[in-house]
Formats: sequence, structure tokens, C-alpha cells
Amino acid sequence: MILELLLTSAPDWAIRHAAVLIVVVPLVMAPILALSPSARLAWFLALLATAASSYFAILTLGIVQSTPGGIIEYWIGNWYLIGIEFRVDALNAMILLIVSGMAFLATVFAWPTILADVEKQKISLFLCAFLLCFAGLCGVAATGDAFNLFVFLEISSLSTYVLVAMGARNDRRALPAAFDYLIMGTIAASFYIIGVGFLYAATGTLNMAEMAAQLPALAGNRSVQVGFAFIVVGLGLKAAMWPLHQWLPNAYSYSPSFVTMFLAATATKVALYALIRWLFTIFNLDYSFEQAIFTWVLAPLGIAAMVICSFQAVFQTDVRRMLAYSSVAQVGYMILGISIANAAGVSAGLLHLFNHSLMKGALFMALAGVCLTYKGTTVRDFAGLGRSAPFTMSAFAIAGLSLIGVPLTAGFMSKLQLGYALFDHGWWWAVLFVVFSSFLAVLYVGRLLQAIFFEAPANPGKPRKEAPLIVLVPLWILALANIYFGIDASFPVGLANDGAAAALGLEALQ
Amino acid sequence: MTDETPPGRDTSGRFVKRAAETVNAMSRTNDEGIHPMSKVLFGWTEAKNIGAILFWTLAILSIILVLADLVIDRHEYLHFAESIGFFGLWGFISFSFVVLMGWPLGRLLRRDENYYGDAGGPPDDIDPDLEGKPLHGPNGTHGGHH
Amino acid sequence: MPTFLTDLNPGWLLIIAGVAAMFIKQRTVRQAMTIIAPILGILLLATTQHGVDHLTYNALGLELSFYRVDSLNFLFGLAFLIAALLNAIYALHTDNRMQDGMATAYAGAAIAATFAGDLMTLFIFWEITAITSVFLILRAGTRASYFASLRYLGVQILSGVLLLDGIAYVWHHTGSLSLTAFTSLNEPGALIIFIAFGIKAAFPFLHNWLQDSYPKASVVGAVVLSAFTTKLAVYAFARMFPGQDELIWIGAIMTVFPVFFAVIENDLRRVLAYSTNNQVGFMICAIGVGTPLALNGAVAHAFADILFKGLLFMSMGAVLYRTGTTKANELGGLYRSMPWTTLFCLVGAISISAMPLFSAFVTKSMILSAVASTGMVVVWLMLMFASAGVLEHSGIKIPYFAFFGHDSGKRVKEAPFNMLLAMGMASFLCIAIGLPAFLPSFGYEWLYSLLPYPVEAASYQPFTLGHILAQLQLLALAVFAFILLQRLGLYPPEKPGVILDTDWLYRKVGYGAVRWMDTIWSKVGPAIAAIAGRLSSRAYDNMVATFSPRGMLSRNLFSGGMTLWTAVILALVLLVSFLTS
Repeated sequence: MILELLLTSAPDWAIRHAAVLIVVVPLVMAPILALSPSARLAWFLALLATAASSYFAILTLGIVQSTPGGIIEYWIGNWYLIGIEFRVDALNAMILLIVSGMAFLATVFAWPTILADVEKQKISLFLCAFLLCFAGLCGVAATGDAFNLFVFLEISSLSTYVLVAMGARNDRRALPAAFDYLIMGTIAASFYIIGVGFLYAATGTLNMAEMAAQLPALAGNRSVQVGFAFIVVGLGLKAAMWPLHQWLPNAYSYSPSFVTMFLAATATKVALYALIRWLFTIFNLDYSFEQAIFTWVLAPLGIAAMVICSFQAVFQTDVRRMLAYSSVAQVGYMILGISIANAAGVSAGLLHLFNHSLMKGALFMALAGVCLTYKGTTVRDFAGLGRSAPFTMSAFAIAGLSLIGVPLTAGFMSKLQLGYALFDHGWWWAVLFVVFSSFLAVLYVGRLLQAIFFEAPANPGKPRKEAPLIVLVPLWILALANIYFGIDASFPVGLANDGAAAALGLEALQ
Repeated sequence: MTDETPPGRDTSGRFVKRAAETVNAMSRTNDEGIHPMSKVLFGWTEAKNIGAILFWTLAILSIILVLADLVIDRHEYLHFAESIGFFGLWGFISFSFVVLMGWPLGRLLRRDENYYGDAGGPPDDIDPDLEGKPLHGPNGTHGGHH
Repeated sequence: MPTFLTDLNPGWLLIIAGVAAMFIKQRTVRQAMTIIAPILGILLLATTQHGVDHLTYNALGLELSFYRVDSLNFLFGLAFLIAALLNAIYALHTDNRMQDGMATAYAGAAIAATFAGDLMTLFIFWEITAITSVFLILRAGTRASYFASLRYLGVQILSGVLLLDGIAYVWHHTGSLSLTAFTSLNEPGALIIFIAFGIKAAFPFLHNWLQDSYPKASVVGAVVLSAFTTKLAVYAFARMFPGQDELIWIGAIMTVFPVFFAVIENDLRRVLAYSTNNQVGFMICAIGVGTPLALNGAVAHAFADILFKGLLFMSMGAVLYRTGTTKANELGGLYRSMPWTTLFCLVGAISISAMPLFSAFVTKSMILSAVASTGMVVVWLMLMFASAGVLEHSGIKIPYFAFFGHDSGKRVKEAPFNMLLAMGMASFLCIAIGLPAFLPSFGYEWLYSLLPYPVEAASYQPFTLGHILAQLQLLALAVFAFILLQRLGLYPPEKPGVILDTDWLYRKVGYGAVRWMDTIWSKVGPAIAAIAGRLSSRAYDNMVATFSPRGMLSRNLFSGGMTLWTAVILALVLLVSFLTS
């Protein structure tokens, strides 16, 4: 209904170019920011850019939902087939909405944390890098061209390395973390481009839709399989698929808290989107080797991530690392959902992706609020915070419960959907792993909540207070979203179902 | 006061008063920490040779009960249980087996009290007047170390 | 009565009262609430209509029924309410808002779960019992109790999560959340729910949370805990799995194995925890038999058990309160200082031993008759063996080592009056329901008339000469064996120490293994990388010397390890896709 209102009120040009404008606005705004004389102005411009992108993302979703085929095809410069195509269907639209929405909320809350974490004269450049990263992520999610995807992937990655390295002001370990991330990110991108190269050699096209059309004729072609393998591993690395996740804990732990929050809510999600796109739209389930990969590689790795990384999270003393390992475990849930390889499974994976960005966004946002007033992120530092910062910490608790999957929270809904999908597929034993992993989540989240609400402060002398209002508002929006979507999940479930149907090339599920 | 009350109510008043005094006396622990009711209720356990008395009483009681089986016709779903003294025998064997198994099992399974780390003292809500009650020391704080 | 009262689940009343009590500073007001709430609850329950969904709610497409009383859950709810009342009286000497409130809320949650009319409601209150009860363990305030409470919470939540998992499966496949009994364990949903219930009922190998946590709870906490959780699970089994054959053997094993542990256990509250296991075993076994007589026996025995087990825990709580310990080797001869406590403890001990004229005699004999009537000789013999075992650990060991035996020289005050009052009331009930019906529908007939199958119950006669004789023989010769072994010096002395049980698996081995895995995992990645790094450093010694400053080594190791993993995964993907295409 709101979508319809937006669609009717939007100007004609906005509707025609919406899909591209999501990417173009931040991309154009980024260099302008770099030249901005005032940090505050830069922040304001970044806010405008992300707001505009969010607006266009919502418009795009509306257009996709109201178009009969459910696909927007946008040939940049109208260079059919030789140029770059942006191709948005229900799947991309969902991802674009998540990325731009989270980017907007992140920018809103960013101001006080950037002031605390980044030197004043570098703030404009920092925000410039952020907008580039954001544009890159949106580009990955919007493009319909395999090589263009690589380009956007690199845009986002390169700017991410910069963002992570900016954490060096607080903690020198950010530099090696950024360096490691750079190496791993480069390997991932290289693997991806090698894979694309193999496929280009076999099909002669870089357009995804074209490639998908040509591939069935090449069944049994070894270079197609090699290309497939490289792409899966490359994107898996970017998505922090276990055991290719080891760059993630350091990168999340040492970067500025705003960056951590933004990356946790968006970066791995986009890589996962690309993986789904390749696995289901370009390749598809008719290839017997893909079925085997699902059963023998992705599902075991997903389960291993769920269990092993949850264990690791239990033993962390630093809250950021704990949440980082938990993120890898959550990626495991999504991978497990995808590896079921039917509409219900992919939909469950996508729903968890959506919910996970809500809960991790809220958790890291609350964490950033804590870092603002109280420099310390170990579990002990959190002791007693429930009394001095009740609003921040209740939002943290809500998101934490959602992470566990307590009923009436969003996390419960996605685990339920995942469970149904697994049961229907006959993998009821995997449900036991899901349950076990949730049980581990009870342990690590419970340990934190226990410290926050029941223990006496470890260091009573240090000042501790509520996070500023500008942090609290987006934080509570996310926390309430966690509860709202735990009670009425029809919106995200609808998105996920449409997305899964689009990925699998089915008629929209309704 | 009691001296001036009319004789008719005097007796009952004195009776009530005496009863109250008795109750009071019977519920006050003496200086040696012995409760007067213990003599009334369990004084018999302090009798000389109580062990021998109990032993022989139970021995005789057991024999009587087994012999009663001859007279009383029990009906059981399982017919072997109708044999004379079945329940007594089974109870005796079971009990002895359980107790005697305590020796090897104790050796096998008993470990030092602090085997799983600090066994801890009594809970916080015991009698506050108790002598030697540990104050809120290191045991009382909830350290979050794992 | 107005509808809002007839629709009010007594459990909810207690939960509301409990939560409110936590915020009331005035001790008298708070304690009055904790006492009045269960009394009101009993009145509400007594006047409620059976077999009607009193309060329903439609949420998320689920039809929830919050309050439904029938002949099966009535007696459980009544027992829980009585226990809540006795516990509140027992706690009157304390002044702790958290404990008062949580104890009442915990009882309320158990009652609300008992009267739940559908699986989802059952699950919700099932979880609330877990969360509220953990505070009763934490209240003890010792470090050991802190860790025990964490383990306890973990196990209880695991049970809840499994239950939810099973419910989700059942709902997905049948579209119904109704409390209809499962006929087999073949479908995964039933099996998962079975395991979830089994954890709460403390099945063998899943039992150790009970021995681990109850003895570490506070004085009042252990008394409160003893009444609800396991009996709620018994109710759940009676509701969902009556006549499930597996339960017969599980129950029989459950009655036997705790007996051996209880003999060598030194901590008397832990002995009672094993005794709880053993008594629940009788009920589970009877539910497995599933005939009307057996189910009557299970429900009646649960009712009796709540009273006499509560009474025994109360008496040990009084000892702990006055002396600061419940270790058998530190106690003895306390009857001199605490004669009333001794008397009440003896009533509890005799009741649990199923002496004629006491409660367990009229309840357990139903179970034994039901098992015997199926002709399962081995199971019946196991239950008879366990009956002798009960006499050993709860009937003799508890009172003997605490109040008689070797005089420890401890001279203390008698228990506070409120504790004596609660124990006295429990003793009265233990005797009252065990008496023959001198007046019609009094004594045991009152209990029998409330059982799920009142007609079958009315036709069952506990006080036949045969029954009485058999039971007296069993008890007399077992006591004789005790005295004989004691005189011969063959009774194992009470020694301090920890008795290993299955919790060893997770408290030592499991914990160690997890720590080990964690250490290994944090070492293996770098270690593999180190090997690779060493190999490459040999091959490219000069190059490394040129390009790699010493400080870069760790970073190289890190990325090296990751790269190696990348290669491994790539090889795996390639291999699988080549092999299967």
C-alpha cells in the first residue's frame, strides 16, 4: 500500500532509472564528499545519498512487484547485449532494500561514533570510502553482468580495506586485520574472475542471462565445471563460508564500530546473494554436479559453521569477536538453507539473511553505543551496563534473544522456516544441528545478558551512560523491527518467497 | 490475680495456665541444647541395649509375619509371589544387596569433595545466628570466569 | 461467578502474584500474597468446570487454549497448589523478594502448564518454569551453585527447545496442536517431544541436572524445586504417551539405578534427589503400562510424592538451616535438639517407604498391581527391588544419619515455627490420604475419587490382608537386614566425597573436550599453515629471507593458513563436481 503510494507519487524519471540511481547516486556523491571542507557537511551529504538510495531501492521493489514478469531490465546507455545490463528481480530488490536501508540507518547513527573513532580531518575521506563501499555493494546486487559484478565487488572491497584500516587509531591490530582481509579479498576476487574467465571462454558472453541461456548446451564441459568451482569458492570466501571465514573475526573486531555494524549487516549478505544468483539462476539444478555440491559440500560446511563457530563464540572474551563468530555461524544457517536447493530452502536462507542483518545491525549498533562512552568490549566490561544504560542494553537484549531464536522474535521465524524446509526435504537430522547450535547461542548470548543485567560493574569508577539519542533511535528501530517481524513475518516472508522464486526461475510463489 | 478469682473459675484458669506453662517449658531448649520433647518422643532410643532390643523385636516380628503367610491366603497376579515369605525374602535380599554393593561402588565412584572444583559452603539463607557461618566472602560473589 | 474468575487459570494467578511480590518491599504484604494466592487458586480450581476450554486465543493462526481442566490434570494442579501453599509457609522466616516471587511464579508456571489445552501453551509455560526456577538455585549464592544453575538452565532450555522443535514438526505435519496422545515414536516429532519430556523427567542418562542442582539450591529453594519440574514431566507423559511400551522399561531402570547411588552418597539432600528419580521411575513405568489402574496409580503416586518428598526436603532444609550442612558424616544425634523435625521427617520417611496407613501404600500398590497384572515378571521384580531400595535410602538412611546414629555433638535450636507448621501440615496430609476410609469418602477414598478413572479406582481395594501382609513382610525383613548389617559392621560408613555420575561426562570429559577442541582449533589452522610455511621456507629460503621481515611472519602464517583452506575447498568442489558429472 505504501509502495503503491510511492509509485504513484514518484516522478517519471525516477521510475525509469530507479535501478541505476541506487548505485549512481552514492557513486557520484563520493568524490563530492571527498572535497567537502566540513566533516558535518560530508556526513549530511552521505545521509542524503543513502536516503536517496533507500528511496530508489523501495521504488525498485515496488516496480518489480508490479511488473508482470517481475524483472527490470535496464541496459546502460541502451547498448543492448554488448553493454552492461542492470537486471533486477525480486531477489535483487530484496537485497538492495536491505543494503540501502541498513546503510541509511548506519549513516544516521554514524556521526557520534565517527567523531570518536576517526580523526577530524579524515572524516570526509572516511565517509567517501563508505559511500564507495556502499555503491559497490549495491552495484553487485543490481548488475546483470558477470564482469561488472567483479568490478563492483572490487570497488566495495577496496574501500572496505580502507575503512577497516581506519580502526588503527584505536587499535593498531586493525592494520594487520585490514592487510589479511585485503589478501583474502583479493584471492576471492581473483578466484571469481578466473571462474568468469573459464565461463567466458566456454560461452562467449559476460551477460548473466545470456550465459544462463547458453550453458545447457555445454553440459559435461570441463571448463564450465572448473569455472563453477572457482566462482563458488571465490564468492564463498567473500560470504565467510566456513572454513573460509578467518578474515572476518579480525576485520570485525578492530575496525571502527560504525564500519563493523555496516559490514556485519550488509557485506557478507551481498556476497551470499551473488552466490545464490550463480548457483540457481546462471547454473541451475539440472546440472548433476551442482546437486552433489549442495549435498556433499555446502550442507556439511554450513552445519560445520553452525556448530564449530558457535562453540568458538562461546569461548570468546571479546564481545565483538563473539558476535563475529556468531555471524559466521549464522552464515552457516543461510548456506544450509540454500543447500536444500528448493524454493522453501532458499526462501528460508533469504529470510534468515534478512533477519540476521536486522539483529546483527542492532547488536553492533548497541555495541558502538557502548564503545562511545565506555572504551572496552570484553564481556567483563559489559558487567552491570544494564543498570547504567538500560535503553541501549534492552535493545541489545532484544536483538540477542532474536539471535538465539526466542519465539516472538524475528530470529525464531527464520529458524522455524528453515526447520520446516529441512523437514520437508527429509533432513530432519539437520534440524537437530540447528537446535544444538541455537542451544549454543543460548550459552553465549545468555552469558552476555547475565553479565549485563545481573553482575556488578567490573570497574565502577569508569563513567558509563546511555548512548546518545541519535544512536538510540536507529537502534530501537532495528530492535522493534526484530520484534515486529517476529510477530507478523508476512512482509519478509513474502520478500524471501518472491526472491527464492525469482532465483529458481519459478513463477512467483503466492 | 489467680488467688482472687472465684473458686469456680479458679480451677479451669489454673489448668489453662498450667497447660500454657507446660507447653512453654516443653518448647524451650535447655542450656545443654537438648529439647525437652526429645525425651518424650525419642527417650526410648537412649535405653540400654536398645540395639539388642530392636534386633530381637524385629527378628521376632519378621518370623511372625512370615508365619502369618501360612494362615493368610494372599492372591497375587504372579503366582510365584504367593509362596511363603516371598516378600520378606525378596526384601531382605534386595536390601542386603544394595547395602553391600555400597562398598565396591563407593571405592569405584567416590572422589575428593573438590573434584569438580570448589564444592562451596552452605547456601546464603541458613540461620544467621549460626556460629562459624561464612560471611559473604569470595564464595558469595558471582565471578563470571569460565 | 463472573467469567473473568472462572476463566482465570490458577497458575496465572500465581504467576501474577509472584511477579508482583518481587516488587513489594513490605515483608508482611508480600508473604501474605504468596500464601493467599495458592489458597485462592485452590478455590478457583475447586469451582471450575471440567472439560471446557475456559480461555482461548487465536494468534498467528494458532488456536491456543490456556485453561482446560479434566480428570487427568486436576489432581496434578491441586497437588501443585498445595505444594505452593506449603512452600510459602515454609519460607516465612526469610525475607527475600526474589525468592518469594520466583517460587510463587515457578509454581504458577507449572500449574499453568498443567492446565494448558494445547501444545504451544504447554511449551510457553514449560519454558517459564525453567527460567523462574533457576533463581532458586542462584539464591544459594555460592560459586558452586552459580555454575550448577548455569548447567541447570542449559539443560532445561535444551528441553524446551527440543519440545518446540517437536511441536513445530507435529504442527507442520498434522496442522494440529491438540494434546492428543501419540500412538508411536516412529515419527520424528513424537520422538523429539518424547526426549524433551524425558529430560525434564530426568530419564536415566538425562537425569543428572537434578542431582547436580537441587542439593546446591538454597534451603527454601530445594523444597520448592522438589515439587514441580519432574512431576510436570510426569503429567506431560501421562497426557501424551500413555501406554507407550518404552516407558515401562525406562521407568523400571529409573527406579533401580538411583538406589545404588543413594547408598554411597554423603549429602542427604542429594540422596533425596536420587530418591526423586526413583519415585518418578514408578510413575513413568505405570504410564508405560497405560491401563486405567496403572494411570490411576501414576497420578495418585505423583500426588503423594509431591507431599512426602516435599516433607523430606523440608526436614533436611530445617537441618541445613540450623546446622549449615546436610552431609551425613557431619550429622547425627540431632533428635535431641530437633525432636519435632525428627518426628515429621520420620512421617515422611515412613510414607515414602509405603508403610500401611501412610500415603505411598495406597498409591504405589496400584502401580505394583497394574504391573503384575501385565505379567511382566522382570519389571515387577525390579520395582519390588526398588521398593526395598526406597526404604534403604529415604526410609532409613535419611532419618538415621541425620537424627540418630552417631552423635555429632551438634546442639542447635529447633526449626523455626513456620517450618514446623509447614512440615506438620504435610505430615497430616501424608497420613490423611493413607488412612483407610473409616468414614466414607475420607482417607484414601477421597484421593481415589479424584483420579482420572474414578470407577476403576473405586473398585480397587488397597487394604486387603494380603497386601498389608506382603508389604509388612517386605519392610520388616528389610529393616531387619539393616539392623543385622549394622551390627555386623557391614554397613558402609558415610564418607565425605563426590560421587561420580553421568554428569562426569559433561562436567569433566565434555568440558575438557570442548576446551581441547577450542584450543586445538585455534592452533590447528596456524599449525597447518606453519607446516606449509616451513616447507615453503625451505624451498624458497632466499626469497623469504629477502621479502619477509620477521614481524610479518605471523601475518603470513595467517593468510597462508587461509589460503591453504581456500585451496582445500576448491579441490573439494572440483573433485565432487568432476566425480558426479
